[in-house]
Amino acid sequence: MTNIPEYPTMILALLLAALPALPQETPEPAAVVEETAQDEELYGVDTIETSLGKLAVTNLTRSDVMNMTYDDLISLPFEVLMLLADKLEISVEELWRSYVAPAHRFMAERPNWR
Amino acid sequence: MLRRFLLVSAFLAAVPPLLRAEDYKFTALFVMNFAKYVDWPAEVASGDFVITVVGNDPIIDELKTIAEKTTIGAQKLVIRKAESVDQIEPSRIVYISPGKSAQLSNALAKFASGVLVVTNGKGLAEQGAAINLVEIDGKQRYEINTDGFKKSGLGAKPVLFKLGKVLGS
Repeated sequence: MTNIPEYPTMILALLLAALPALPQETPEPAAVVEETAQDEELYGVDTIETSLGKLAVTNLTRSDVMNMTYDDLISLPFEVLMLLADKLEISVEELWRSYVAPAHRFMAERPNWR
Repeated sequence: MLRRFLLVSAFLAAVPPLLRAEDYKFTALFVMNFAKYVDWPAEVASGDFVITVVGNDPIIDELKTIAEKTTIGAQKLVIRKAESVDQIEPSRIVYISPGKSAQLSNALAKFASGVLVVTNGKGLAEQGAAINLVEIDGKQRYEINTDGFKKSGLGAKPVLFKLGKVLGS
């Protein structure tokens, strides 16, 4: 067995595992807001009716969309559904958290894991 | 050390499916909307509205959940699964999962008209699929192949063309 330091190996594993899931292009936050606004203008949709009440599409977060039930989603017009699907776009920050947080927990809970 | 490397890799590999669950949900909702926005021939307006999924794809469970909650017009929505195109029973929509994309040409040859063939993968609309789900700039989108629609003898409401990326003449 070669004497390779273990932390760099782990970081390499993290990077390799993350690479396929990374978006090809990472838009600037301002561009995302601008594009979403354009889409909403195109579709002419401001608010939607859900089991939680009347919600403004502009203010919906990815978490809001993920928590919507089929009962909320099935009755929506297709153009609104597409707007909501756009909200599911995963940011690099979220992606990084999703990888690092579980790995960090795993190591923290097992101080002698090495 | 190899064992630890494999352990970490396996652990990390398990994370992405958690992120994709909502994608399957919306993919299924997209397919349901295709059913609603396509103009179906009058002769198939009775009986069950059957969607067959070719291959193992999590979209099946999502579609079954949708089928319990809605109909297509007055037709009951029924979801079936087939391992290959040859096993497909009469259906209105055939969804070919990404792992079975190689069977697209078989599907197009088998279903000359009256069946909407939906695929999920880059370049499959150009190969003849009437509707192809694709990811563009990280967003779920779909392509419509107008030639594929013509060959299938189906029409669609304008909004379907407005929202999708239209290919063909």
